[in-house]
Amino acid sequence: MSDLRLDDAEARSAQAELHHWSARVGLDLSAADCGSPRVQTALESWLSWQAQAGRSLSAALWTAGDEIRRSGELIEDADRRIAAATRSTTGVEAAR
Amino acid sequence: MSAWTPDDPGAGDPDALEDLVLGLAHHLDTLTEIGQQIGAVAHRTEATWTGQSADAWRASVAARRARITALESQERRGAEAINTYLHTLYSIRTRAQNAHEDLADAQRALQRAEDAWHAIQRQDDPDQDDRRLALLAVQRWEQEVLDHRAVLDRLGWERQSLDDAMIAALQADVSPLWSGAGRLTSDAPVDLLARSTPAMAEWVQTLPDGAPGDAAARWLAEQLTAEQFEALLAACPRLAIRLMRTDTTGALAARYPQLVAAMRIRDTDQRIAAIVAATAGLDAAELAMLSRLHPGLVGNLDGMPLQTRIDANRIAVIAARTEADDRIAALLELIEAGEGNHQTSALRERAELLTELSAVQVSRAWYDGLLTEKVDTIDADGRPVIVTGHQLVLFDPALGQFGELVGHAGAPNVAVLLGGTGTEFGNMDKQRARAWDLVTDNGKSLAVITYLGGPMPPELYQAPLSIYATCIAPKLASFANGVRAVTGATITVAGHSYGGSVVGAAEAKGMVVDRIVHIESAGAGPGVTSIQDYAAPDTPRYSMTAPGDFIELTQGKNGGILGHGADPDRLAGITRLETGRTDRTDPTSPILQGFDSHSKVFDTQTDAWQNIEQVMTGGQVSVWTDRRDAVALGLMDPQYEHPMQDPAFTPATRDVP
Repeated sequence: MSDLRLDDAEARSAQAELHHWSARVGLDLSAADCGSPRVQTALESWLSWQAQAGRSLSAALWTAGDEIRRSGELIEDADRRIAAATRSTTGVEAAR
Repeated sequence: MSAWTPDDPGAGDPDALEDLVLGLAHHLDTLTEIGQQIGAVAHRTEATWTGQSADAWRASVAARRARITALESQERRGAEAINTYLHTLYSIRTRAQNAHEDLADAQRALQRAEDAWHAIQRQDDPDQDDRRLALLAVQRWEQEVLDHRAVLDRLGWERQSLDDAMIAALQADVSPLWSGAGRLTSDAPVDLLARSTPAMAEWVQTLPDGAPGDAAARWLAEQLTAEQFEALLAACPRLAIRLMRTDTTGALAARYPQLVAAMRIRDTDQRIAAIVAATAGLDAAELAMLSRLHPGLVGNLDGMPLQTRIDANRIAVIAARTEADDRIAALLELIEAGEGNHQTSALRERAELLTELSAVQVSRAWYDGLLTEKVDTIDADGRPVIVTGHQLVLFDPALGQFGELVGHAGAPNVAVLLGGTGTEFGNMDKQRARAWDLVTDNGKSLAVITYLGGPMPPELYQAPLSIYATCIAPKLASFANGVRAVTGATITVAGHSYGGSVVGAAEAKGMVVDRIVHIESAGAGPGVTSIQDYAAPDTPRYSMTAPGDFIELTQGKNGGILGHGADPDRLAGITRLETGRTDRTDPTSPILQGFDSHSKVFDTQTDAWQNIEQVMTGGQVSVWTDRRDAVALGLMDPQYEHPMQDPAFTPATRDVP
């Protein structure tokens, strides 16, 4: 049995946190003078590789934030629909 | 940017490198904190949010944390390497400065000693002790200069080693493709992987021609999921052309050293064994990536798993179709440019262009069909299913090579079927239909590969020439031996008509499989006079020729560039099979005979077809009975010309080993 208590405020809070951390994952450093063209190329390649990986991870964290927010909205929507359906049934029964 | 020299082995900016390390250290702290914080966010939800969606979300967050940890480890290793580099650089720089100072001192001292020596030399009657001491001083400072120069040389070697170690450390965590692409990947937009498919396609389109551009395209292809890759390939078919090219950046060798070493082995069978060994350790995902990134290498590589070849050749066909599109566009442009010019040479050129255009359009349509046609196959559960696209295990339009797997790649019995005179790309669909007839009744237990190893004689008048068979023979030998080695299946190689001669020639060239069947075969192979001419004389061999087939006229003819060796029906050590009746369920039906029988052996109702199928699946075959023997033994009514014409006659049977 699932416990679907994920209120909107909690989901928003998690989303905000994940978005915040997502923005900090990226690496933005440039290569210093290595004194060797071969090493320079390797270092620049490594830094851009790390930056690319960080960027990809950043996007993944951002998505994780969106996912929990969407889950919260879906749960809230389902709760509202069930409540509406229940109220409708109760009204019919009361009318009888 | 500076560049060190033997005189200046300490070149570089260690202070700036130290700042970089500090920046990385700070970022590493941030990554640690992020890992902890998102773990805390996930943990906090546990108290209130449960169920499948909650579990799935938390699992995805855990996976992202694992990626942070991996990124952190990579970055830490890199930072440590840079730190080691800069400290050694400091040390080299300091020692180089000291060496230079010592060298300068020694050079000055040498100059003074030389001056003293020359002054003594100029004296009319120099004191011999002074002279000797002056000379010793010169020699001593000369040695000092040499020693200090040697120190600088050693520092140069040290710097070289330091650079090598640093590069190796940095490249250890970076894809070789990324490194091979040089600045192209370094300069790629940092959000490239998060961009839409059209944006990625645009990036691929802008890559320059050449090895770095190809490596950059491969790097991008490597980063994508299967679905993303398919979408990109659809949006940018030119990517297939890039992937098909040979890697010259060393990325392939860096990633698959064992495979690259295996490919260099000259002996065919040793090479196949080494390739099988090299790929045995790769799981399905790694093999899929290999076929994605290097389709031009593995699509036709004997010893590669069949599914890997199929995946690779799909990309090869996309590349061929794209190149055909390019050529069509270029030809249309040339034709349009020549319009209105009625000079003889221009008209001739136009006619040639139109002929080429027509041929390329036919090829283009064929490539498209290979990719988009709905074809029958067998799924992993042994059920017939329809899939989109042909399963090609061999595809090289330039060399006229083609091979299609019909059925399930994991079948325990695999047959390789060769057609005869006139077989070409345009009629391989007929070979496929024959293959499917054989496969359809056997489900997962039999797969058939329709094989075309190169140009076959286009017309009947060229059929006596053995050159086509001898050219294809070594390729078929390698192909069949490769399929056998990598699948572990029981392999039957079946040659129809001229294809029979090719099969015999391949056996003479080293093909070793489990069963051979000659179907209305032109011969046992050019120059073959006995089964001892084959690489494996003991291989079970079968042959069938229906009475009255015109192929009988060529069988047994041998000589120079004409003929196809001994008659396989009569060669000792080969079992001749019954071709039987046109309807094997009706003993009163006519026997299979005459010119038509040459191809009618593939009619599924015939005894001949059943015998072919039984050889391929290791069942039971009916063997040929000579009329004289049958009459002598009282097995047939002598009024008939052939035993099978007698409805009461039942041929002997034999189990296929």
